[in-house]
Amino acid sequence: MPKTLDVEKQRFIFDDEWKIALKYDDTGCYREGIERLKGEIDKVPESTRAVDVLALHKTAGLLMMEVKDFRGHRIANKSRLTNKEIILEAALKIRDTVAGLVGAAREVSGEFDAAAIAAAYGPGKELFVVLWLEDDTSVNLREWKAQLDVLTQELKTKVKWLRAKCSVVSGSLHRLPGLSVTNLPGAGQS
Amino acid sequence: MATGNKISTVTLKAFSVFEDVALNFCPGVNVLIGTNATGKSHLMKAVYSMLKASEKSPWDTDNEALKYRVQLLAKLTKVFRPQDESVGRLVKRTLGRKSGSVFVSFTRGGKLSFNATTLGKLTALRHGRVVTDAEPSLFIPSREVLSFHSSLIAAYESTNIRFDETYFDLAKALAAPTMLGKRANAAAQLVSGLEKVLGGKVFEAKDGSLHLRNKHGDFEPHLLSEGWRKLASLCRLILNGSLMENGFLFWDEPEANLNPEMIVMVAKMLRLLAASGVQIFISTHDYLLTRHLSLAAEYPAQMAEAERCDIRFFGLTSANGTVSVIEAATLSDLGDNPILKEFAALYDYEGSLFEKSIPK
Repeated sequence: MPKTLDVEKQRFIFDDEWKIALKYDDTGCYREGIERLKGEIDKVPESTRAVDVLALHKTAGLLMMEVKDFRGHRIANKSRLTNKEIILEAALKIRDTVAGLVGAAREVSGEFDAAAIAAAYGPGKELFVVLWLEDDTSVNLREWKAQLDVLTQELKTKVKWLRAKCSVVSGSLHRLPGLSVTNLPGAGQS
Repeated sequence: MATGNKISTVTLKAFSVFEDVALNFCPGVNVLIGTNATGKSHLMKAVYSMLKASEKSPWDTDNEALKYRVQLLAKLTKVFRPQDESVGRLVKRTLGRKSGSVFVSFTRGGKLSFNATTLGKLTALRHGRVVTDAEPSLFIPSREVLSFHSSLIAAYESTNIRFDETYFDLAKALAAPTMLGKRANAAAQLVSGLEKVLGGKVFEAKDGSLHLRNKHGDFEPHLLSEGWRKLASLCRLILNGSLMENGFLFWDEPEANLNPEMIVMVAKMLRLLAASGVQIFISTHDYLLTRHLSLAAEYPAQMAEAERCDIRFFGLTSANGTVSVIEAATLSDLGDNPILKEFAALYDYEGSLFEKSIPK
C-alpha cells in the first residue's frame, strides 16, 4: 500500500518500496517522548525538535526529511535563507530525531517499527537526509539549482557527524525514487 | 559621481569572432560572461587599443586623423600581436577577402572607429574630442605584473619581445609615482579596504620594485601570493592615479588567483571605482564575483552610497562559428549564463548520484 503523508500543504506518496513512511513529529512516541525534554538553562530556553518525515526503504536505508515551504512569504524568510539558519535548524532537527529514535527503539510500540529504524543506523547502512525547500524567490531554474547546490554543501557540513547522504531539493527537482508529490489546496500561499 | 565621457555603444562587424553585434554599455561596471573563445578579451582589447591610441593623439595637432591612425595601427598590432603584424588577421575568418570594423560611441557624442581589411589595410576615424590623457584607460590582464614590472619595462623597451602590450602598459602604470595632495587623500580612502585585506601598504623600494609592508615586515612581490600581488597592484594603480575619475578600466578575469575573500573585496572595489567615475569592463568566469555584482544591481538602495553604481551584464554565446550577445540588468536576467549552467549541472550531477543510492 502506498503511504500518503500531508506536510505543509503538500502530499507526499511513498510507494511500496518504502516499507515505513510517517510524519515523525506527529507521533506519540515523539510527542510523549523526547519532545518533553525542554526547559531553561541559565535563562536560555532549550527544547527538542524533529524532522517532518521518516521513511524506511526496503533495501536502501533510512530517509529523514524536513519540509519547508517559503512560497508566498518571501520577505519574512529571505534573511533566514541568506544566513543559512534554515540549514542549521534542519541539522538540529536531524540531531534530535536521531536521539529520539534511539530512545523509541528501546520499547515496542504499536505506532511504527522503531527497532527497524534504529537498525538502519548500523554500519554499512545508508542514511539519507533531505531538506525539501519550496521557495518562489528565484528568477530562473539554473539560479535556483545553484542556490540549492550551495545549501546542499552547507547541509553536508552540518550533518557530517552522521555520515549521511544529503540533498536539498524542491518539488520538480527531487530525485527520490518511489516518491510522488502534489500540492494540496492553498499550497504556495501565505 | 564623475561626469566624464563614457562609452555608450560598441559595435563589432566581422571582427574577431563577431559577425555583427552591438553592446550598449552602462557608465559603471560592465560584466562580460561567456565560455572561452567567445571574444570577451578581443572585444576589450580592441576598445582599449582605440582609447589608448586616442589618448596618444592630441586633438589639436596638425594631421590629427593621420596620427590617430598611426597610433591605432601600432597599438592593435602590439596588443593583439597578429602574425606578420597584419591587422587583417583580426578580421573574422571566412572564405575570400573581407573587412572587419569596430565602432565606439560615447555618451557625450564623439565616435572612434576603424576598419581593417584581410589584406592588412587599416582606416581609422575619430569624430569629435573623445578622450584625453586626463581620461586614461588601463587594461589589467589575467596574470599579475607587479613582480616583474620594472624588468618588463626595461626588456620591452630594449628588445623586440613579442609580449602583449597590455602587460607593458600596466607595468608602466605601476611604475608611476604615487599622487600627492587632495586627490591622494581620496585615493587613500578608496584603497583602505584593500589594505585591510592585505594587512599593510604597498610602497616602492629603493630598486624600484613594489613591496608590501605589514606588521610582519617588508615583503618583495615574489614572496607574496599571486592573489596578493593583484590586490597590491590595484592599490598602487589607485594611489598613483592610473585608475582615476573619468578613466576606463578593462580587467580580464579579475578572479584569477584570488581566494573567495579577495574576490568579494574585488567586487566591492569595482563598485567603489565605478561610483567614483571609472567606467569598467570585466570579463569573468567566476560565480562569486558575478553574484556579488548582481546583488548590488538587484539591491542598489541597500548598498553603501559610495558603492552605488550602474551595473550591466552581457552574456556571450557562440553558435555555428559566430557569437551573439544578450544584455541584462542582473545575472538572473541573462537567459544563457555559462557559469550558472555549470553550477546547475553540478547540482544535477550530485542529484543523479544521490538517486542511484536508492534502488528503484
